[in-house]
Amino acid sequence: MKKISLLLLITLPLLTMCQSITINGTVTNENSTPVNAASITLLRTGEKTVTNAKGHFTIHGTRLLDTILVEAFGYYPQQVPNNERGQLHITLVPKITALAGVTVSTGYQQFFRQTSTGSFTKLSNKILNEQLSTDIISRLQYITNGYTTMPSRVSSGNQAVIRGISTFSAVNDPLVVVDNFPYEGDIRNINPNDVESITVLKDAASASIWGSRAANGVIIITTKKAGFNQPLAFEFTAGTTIGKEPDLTKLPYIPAADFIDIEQFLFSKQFGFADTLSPYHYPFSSVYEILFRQQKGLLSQQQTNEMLDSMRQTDLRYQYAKYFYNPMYNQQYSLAARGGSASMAWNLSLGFDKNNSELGLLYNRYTLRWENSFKPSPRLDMNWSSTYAGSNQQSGKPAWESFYTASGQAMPPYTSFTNAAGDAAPWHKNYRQTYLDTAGAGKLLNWNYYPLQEYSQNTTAIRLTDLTFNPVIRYKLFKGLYIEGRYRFQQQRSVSTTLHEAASFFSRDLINTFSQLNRSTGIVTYKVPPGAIKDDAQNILTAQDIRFQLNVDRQWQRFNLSAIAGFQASEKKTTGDANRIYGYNMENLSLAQVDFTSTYPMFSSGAFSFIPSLLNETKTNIRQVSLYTNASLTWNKKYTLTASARRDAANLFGVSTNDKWNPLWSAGLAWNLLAEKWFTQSLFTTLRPRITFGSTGNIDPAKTAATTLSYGAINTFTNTPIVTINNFYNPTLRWEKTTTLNTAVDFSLLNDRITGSIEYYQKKARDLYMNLPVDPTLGLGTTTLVKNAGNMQNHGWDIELNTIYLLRPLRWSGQWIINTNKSKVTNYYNTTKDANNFIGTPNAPVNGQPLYTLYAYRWAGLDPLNGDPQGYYQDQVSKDYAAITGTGYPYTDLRKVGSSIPLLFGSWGNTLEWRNFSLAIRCTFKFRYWFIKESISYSNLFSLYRGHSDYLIRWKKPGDEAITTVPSLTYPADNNRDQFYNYAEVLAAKGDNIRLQYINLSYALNTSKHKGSFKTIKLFAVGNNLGILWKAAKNVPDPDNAGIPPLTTYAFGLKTTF
Amino acid sequence: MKYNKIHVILCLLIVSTLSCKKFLDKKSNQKLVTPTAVKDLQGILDNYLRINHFNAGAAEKSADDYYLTTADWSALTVTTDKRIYNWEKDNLFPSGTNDWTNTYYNVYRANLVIEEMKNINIPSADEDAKNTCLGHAYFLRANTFLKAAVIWAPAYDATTAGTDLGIPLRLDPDLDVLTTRASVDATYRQIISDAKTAAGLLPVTALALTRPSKPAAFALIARAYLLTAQFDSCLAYCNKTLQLNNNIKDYNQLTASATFPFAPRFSNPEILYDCYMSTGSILSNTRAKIDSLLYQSYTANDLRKTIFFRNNNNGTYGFKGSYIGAANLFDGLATDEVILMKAECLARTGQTTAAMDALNSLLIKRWKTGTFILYTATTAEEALQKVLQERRKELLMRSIRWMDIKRLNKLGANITIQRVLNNQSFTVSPNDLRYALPIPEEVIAITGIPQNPR
Repeated sequence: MKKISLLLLITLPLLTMCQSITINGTVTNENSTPVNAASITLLRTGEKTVTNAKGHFTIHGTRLLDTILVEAFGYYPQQVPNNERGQLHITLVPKITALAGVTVSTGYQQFFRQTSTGSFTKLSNKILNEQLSTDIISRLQYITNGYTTMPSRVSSGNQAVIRGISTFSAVNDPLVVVDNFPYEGDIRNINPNDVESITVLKDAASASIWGSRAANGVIIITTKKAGFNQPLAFEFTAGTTIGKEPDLTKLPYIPAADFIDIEQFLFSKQFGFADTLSPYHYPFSSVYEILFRQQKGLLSQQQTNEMLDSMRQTDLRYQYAKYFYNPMYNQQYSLAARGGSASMAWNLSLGFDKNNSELGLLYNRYTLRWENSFKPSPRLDMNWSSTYAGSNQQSGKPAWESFYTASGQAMPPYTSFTNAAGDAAPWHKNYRQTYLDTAGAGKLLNWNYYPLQEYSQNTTAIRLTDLTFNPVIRYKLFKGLYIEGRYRFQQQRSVSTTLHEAASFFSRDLINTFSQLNRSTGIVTYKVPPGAIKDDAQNILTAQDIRFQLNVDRQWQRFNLSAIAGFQASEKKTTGDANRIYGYNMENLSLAQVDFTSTYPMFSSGAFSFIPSLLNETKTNIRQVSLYTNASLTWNKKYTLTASARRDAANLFGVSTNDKWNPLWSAGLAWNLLAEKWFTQSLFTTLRPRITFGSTGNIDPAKTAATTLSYGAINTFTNTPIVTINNFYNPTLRWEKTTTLNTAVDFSLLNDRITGSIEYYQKKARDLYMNLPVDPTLGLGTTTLVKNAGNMQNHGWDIELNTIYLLRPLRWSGQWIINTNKSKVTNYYNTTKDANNFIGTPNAPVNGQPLYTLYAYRWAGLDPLNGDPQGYYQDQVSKDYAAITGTGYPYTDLRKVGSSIPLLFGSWGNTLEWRNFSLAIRCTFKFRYWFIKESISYSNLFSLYRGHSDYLIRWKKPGDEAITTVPSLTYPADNNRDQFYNYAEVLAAKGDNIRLQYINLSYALNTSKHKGSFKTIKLFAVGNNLGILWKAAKNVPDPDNAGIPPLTTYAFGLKTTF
Repeated sequence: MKYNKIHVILCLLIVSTLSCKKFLDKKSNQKLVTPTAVKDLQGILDNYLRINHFNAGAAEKSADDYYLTTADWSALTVTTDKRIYNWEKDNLFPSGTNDWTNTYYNVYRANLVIEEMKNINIPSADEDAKNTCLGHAYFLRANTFLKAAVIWAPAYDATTAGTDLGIPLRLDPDLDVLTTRASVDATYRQIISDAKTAAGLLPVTALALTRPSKPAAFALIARAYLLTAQFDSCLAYCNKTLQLNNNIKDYNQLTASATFPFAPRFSNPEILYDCYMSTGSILSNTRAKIDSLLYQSYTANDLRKTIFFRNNNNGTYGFKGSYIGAANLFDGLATDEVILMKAECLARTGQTTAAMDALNSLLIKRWKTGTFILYTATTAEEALQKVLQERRKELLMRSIRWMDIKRLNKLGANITIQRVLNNQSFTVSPNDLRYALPIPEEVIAITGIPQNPR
């Protein structure tokens, strides 16, 4: 294309003539999608036109030799020489994240960014697809301005945080909206290949339209839509992700040899001997059992030592690596077809995912999406989409540290899963081996627990199906006034089946426990019949929403009004039931009846117990109605004023309807400086300050003001229902309210080579919920009660800078995302000063302090005489651990270490495009945060067998205090001493780190051109979680994650259109 | 035309708004109710898993029914249990859930039932159910207050009871009522009054032993009178109880070798009200050893020697005689206690022969058939000593010993209790201030109520 143009440019001057000609052309983007409303200018004559919906234009020129300037929102302007005959085809290059021309969606309305005042982060298809994953949401955390996830030490599960935390209570996930309605199902049902773009709503002006559900931020997912007048096109994507199993050798671990020494020491102290008398026959570790035998004279000293020495060689980490962990392997395929005539458009996509995790957990997903648009008349517009998603999940193998005994002890590091012959070896899980050997006089089922087999004999399969139907009808009443009706139906059904095979320990244990052995006849009576045990649970979620909306889009002279007003009703119903079947036989589906209403003696202890039943049924129905409006008024293309208001009401139980309503609102102003005549300069192409203010709210439907009771199981003794108090009379409870002031400037300069935005926000949250300690004498059965406990503020900067450097054929674009957030508790009603409310509780509010401040006990070093950790009590060096960790120690005597969540974070992305190659590299950084390292707790080590490698570097003899900070071992263990050390400032470390998050390398194959339609083939490779480039804490493998760090994965795939 | 369309839209909006109220009146969770019927309230009290299974265990933990070896004491993981064993002066209760919170957990539910019962309309058909439920609530409150008074208040002393600090008497579910401490006198008057109200409402036989009955309420009143040294009234209520239920289990029918001879639960006809303590590991029968002098005081033909105790085969004995029939320690009410109270009151009021008759009626069921030689006494004092000795042997590990030490010391028994750890001995002399355990420090910090003097 370019070569032809170049050739023409050279040859055309020769043909210069001065006559009227007609130039026809088509403007498309790189995906050959037509670009509508692109402006076409003949530079010499000044003749102008715009493209139509098909991207076509016709322009009349007077001279043949002229240059055509093509401009369109969201694309780099392009100049092409005109053409004597035939069609011109112009392909525009989109700006990476250009501010102008980007449409953003709030889920109620779509508009150009330049007519909004709010704060949005828009993620294009291109940047989203730099990563490959089964779900779409996990891709956001590295690329989204103003969005981060909590360090796993503070909150597990990659908890998303948009613009800081402004709540005292647990942080909830943001609201996810898919195609205009909150997505109620499992977000993993969405095929990432169906996603066109994602918009994150960050300030009140953008989010308050979501009312009470917007408190934790809103993520708007827009799926790919069918377009009218499109030729038939197919898109196929395939990708495979692989990852090595995790390296368990980096885990803090006490080697078997040392662990056996510890146990021998404990044995010499008769630690745990009381359990030998237990009627429950609590298990003892293999080392203890050997020592017991030696004590009874059954083993000689030499035999004992030989047995222990052979166990010292075992390493549990290798056992796990060998038997449980495997490389992970995920596959993803997606096929889409779309096309459209002038009045009809359709889009069909299929997706298939097949995942095999590092623990052999299998997950398959099938998605089907069918979307149709229909325009029977210029006034009427209809669209409906239906989505089906089905997935199967099959449980895998046990993860690291998932074996515990009945008394809560962890699996000792010398445990071997196999015996000398290589067969599965039993492990003392619930009972002493000596008890099991004789318990049933050979009449009971084998009572051994085999770690190597148990997982494969207890499997859970979860089948999930999700159906969504989403029709829209839009009717143009008259110019600029539309009425729109939307409906959404979603039903997700999840069926979970856990099968405990007859051979599993789970089944054998229950059967034996409820077996009655007549010792004289040898006859066994089974109260739990032999056979498999099957647990079924089914949950059905049905969500329905209906929305009527009026849309106004009008121009009156210099005014431009764009407004919506509507009404919406939603209902979310869940029903669930669960059941357990005993004596189940898969072959012929036979099952047994058991008596759940009587107690039976348990074989091991003789105490009486019911046979466990899982029978349960639940039903909830949450309803909400809302009235909302949003308007944007622009004057003279200079000033834009926006306002929104919303009222919500929900069926909060025990609250009268009038109290259920709550109004929320916002207002905003933007000023397009470049439209001012006096603002003459050539640096900027966009300069647009804007400001918004408004409120969002939050109410937990579970927190109602009335005393509510909840019906539970039946009391089997009286055959009457058991009722528990669900909620306490709490009449003063109000909504949480957050007001946000957002000031920002959008800019682009140097001909859009540099674009970006700088935003500063201040959030003030009032009446925040907090579980406040209440007088235990009230007798609530909880030590805390939800109250509107205080206020807090949050402020921060969201800075985004995009640069493009063109050095043809090289194109380098960079993106900087820099976010800061700082909070301050301004009014907290709880006046507790006890340090133990702040230790280990990072979100405990303190007036005047940031939320999530990390506190630690002050550290005065190890006692040189005996290696005791020393702290301070009333400013004196002290070892009174009971006093330091007890009630009455003021938090003001603690060391304020710093924030436990990053105050400065963001990412840096670079994309290099050279000929057919494209390389995207993304680094993320988290700065200014602290955490407490894990270390040894002797009380946990002794009673729970939970060790930590710091044990190996503990204080052992005077002088060691110079080289270690790990306290000496003491017996008996003092858990106050452990508590003090485990939260002492000496274990605090700086969490700052920079990660190489992902690298995406892609290559577009040169493909031949067919008439008007392009065929593209792109090959790509992605490396994800590639490692930490820099971290402040040297001795910690991963500051963001305790335990096993996220896996490094590599993906390969191709994407083609035809 | 255009305006018509707008009208239609406006009408639609208005109609949908009006129907909102109905739409929003749907219950958000099918299992939720606000209290509107007797069964809603009865269900709260029938939650036996909480109401009957979490009685305060501090009195038994403090008592001298048992001891721990130094090794077992050292290996205890709960520091507060270590401290309570040594009768330390403070920090005897863990933060969070503890005996205090469990105590008032029951009190709040009793108060809620009493209060809500006033607000609901009760059809006449439910009148009996209402009385049963209300009686249950009053009984629960009295029983719980009594257990709390034994732990956190000093022994009743008629001369100082009006000023001695008793326990907080929360009588209203209103969360805004401040917690204050009543006097010991007011505490026991409330207990007796609540128990009497309960006795007037409760049926003679309850649906299950997890619910109280009229004889259970009488036995509770008798216990309160015994603790306040009102022996005539105590005797009267013992007789009232026994008129309705005088079952005594013949221990010859039990299997002494069983892990738990009283299993299954409720099989013992002596039980008037069935509940047990929250004890933690300190009182588990693998650790708690029975005082050897106490064990040796049982004669060879006394069936309790094998039914109550398990031989640890190392010279020590554990307790397995809980009326629950499991490892959990029964601390409810039973007729054996009532007979012993009756015998004591008879002895104290000079009715020597009657006292011995009452005692013998119980003990004959405790000895191997045909071996029991009837107890006799020549003086009332001798009778009292025999009754008290048998009381010690019958009612151990039932949260009764601690209250007995307290009240008997007030009557001049001069009992000093002792623990030995690492060859170091700890003692509590009669009427020591430590007989009123410290209220959990958290409670003092939040409410500002006075702590028991140390």
